[in-house]
Amino acid sequence: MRQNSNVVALHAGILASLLILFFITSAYHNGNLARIMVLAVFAMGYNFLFGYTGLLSLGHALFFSAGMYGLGISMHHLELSVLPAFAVALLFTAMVSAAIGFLALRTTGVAFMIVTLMFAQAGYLTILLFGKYTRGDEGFVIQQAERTLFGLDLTDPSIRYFAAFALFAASYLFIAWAVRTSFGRCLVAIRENEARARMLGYDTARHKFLALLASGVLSGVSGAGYALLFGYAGATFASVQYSILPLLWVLLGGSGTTLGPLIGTAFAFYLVDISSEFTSAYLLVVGAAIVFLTLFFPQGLAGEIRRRIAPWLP
Amino acid sequence: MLRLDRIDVSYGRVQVLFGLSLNVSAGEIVCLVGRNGAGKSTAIKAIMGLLQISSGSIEMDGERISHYPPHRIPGLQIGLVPQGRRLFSELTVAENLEIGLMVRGGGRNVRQRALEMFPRLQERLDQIAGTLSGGEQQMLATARALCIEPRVLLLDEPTEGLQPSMTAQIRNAVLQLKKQEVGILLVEQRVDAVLALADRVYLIENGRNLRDYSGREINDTPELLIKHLGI
Repeated sequence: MRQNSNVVALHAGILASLLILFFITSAYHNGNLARIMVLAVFAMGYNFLFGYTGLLSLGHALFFSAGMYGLGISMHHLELSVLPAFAVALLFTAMVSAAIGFLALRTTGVAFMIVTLMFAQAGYLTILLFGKYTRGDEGFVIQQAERTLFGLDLTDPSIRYFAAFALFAASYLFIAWAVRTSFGRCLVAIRENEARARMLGYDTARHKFLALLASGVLSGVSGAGYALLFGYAGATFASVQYSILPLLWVLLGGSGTTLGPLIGTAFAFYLVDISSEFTSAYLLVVGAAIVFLTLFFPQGLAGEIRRRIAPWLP
Repeated sequence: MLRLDRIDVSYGRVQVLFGLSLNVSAGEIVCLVGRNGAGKSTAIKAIMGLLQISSGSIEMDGERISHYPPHRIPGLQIGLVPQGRRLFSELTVAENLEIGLMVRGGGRNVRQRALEMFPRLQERLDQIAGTLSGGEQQMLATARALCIEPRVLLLDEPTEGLQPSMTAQIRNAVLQLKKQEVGILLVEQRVDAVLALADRVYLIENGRNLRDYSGREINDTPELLIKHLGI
């Protein structure tokens, strides 16, 4: 009972803190936080598959870019308004996730990593191939006039912040709820030992497929949100780098924790932001920080907090 | 209730069971006895759908279940306490039980009944399963299987590696389940465990039925069993 109230207080505290930060930080940091919240949704989606189900994908850039281009092309070429374009993006991402899940989940372990990586590369090349519509590496801008919702200008920094917050809060609460359901518990059982979960009577293949679907759609939500709030869709977001980044964020923040993706995304974002102010070799600083964290906090920041201080941390 | 009728099972090209048959009725403790490699655990895996049979049939209440995938078997209230416990060792006792409960959507009452059988677990609900003693792990594996409210419970060498006091607790639990009309299929190599519990004994050798004995026959002349097991 006490643990439940701790968990509720933690979730409420995190969301309240993000709201309060808007009023006490500068416009520059507000912009950063909006970006971090949207990208944290990507990390949460990744964490659902990797942290809770134990499936290491190297192809999540495909789902992120599916959402991004689903929304971008719908608005830019088909001239749909925000909500229908968002719906198209989600539907498209769900279809892509289902197709990838159907094929890639026939493999496990390293083979699963390679298959997802190959599909993501195929997606990246497809975006380049259809450069007439996607504008390839150069990408395209979604016009400011198109980015309005219920009369609100999503390019306004304040509105953009709260839109990013809404997207983050909805995804965060969804994950916090999903991992406590019997479905979420079963994913943890699969992560711990799939054969044992199957022996106990779980249809592990169905659970893994649904986990991949949810993970892909959340990544697509992030991609669509990013395109909408920052007005740009480009092939860079489909490159292998954007498959590695969510893995990095989740590992830094703590895989299998609800809070880890946000912490990891914010940490990595500001590590690059701050170190690049002092040196052009900022990747060296980032690399050293990652090595340090991996050595001394192997379970990630939130994972270590859970291990040392708060075992109830979800 | 549970019936295996002349089943053949192979691992790839190597056949392990040759026409094995057995029955388990409600409230009956049936022991499957044989030497290492006789095919006892293979029979358990075949019942649980973890291995496909190549001929014969497995039935529960007259329903043929040999072709069912593994995740459908516990839904028929056939529970398994596997050899070596096979817990989720990184999760807590409570989480292990919860995973067992979710299979059939069992509630608090079901968990409570399972814990009443092993009060020691009640004190260790927040402990990581991998840090329990061997006996406690066996209790947890059994309690987890009880979370599906089994009508047939398969126990694969439940007293293996346990000290006598723990063995006695597991035996008591098995006897309590028998009173609750649960059918028990007990795979054992330990003659003392079989003698204390069995209503019937199936002796198998090289994957084949060798002989069946009643519990009385075995208790009156335990040397029958000892002779076949070569102990």
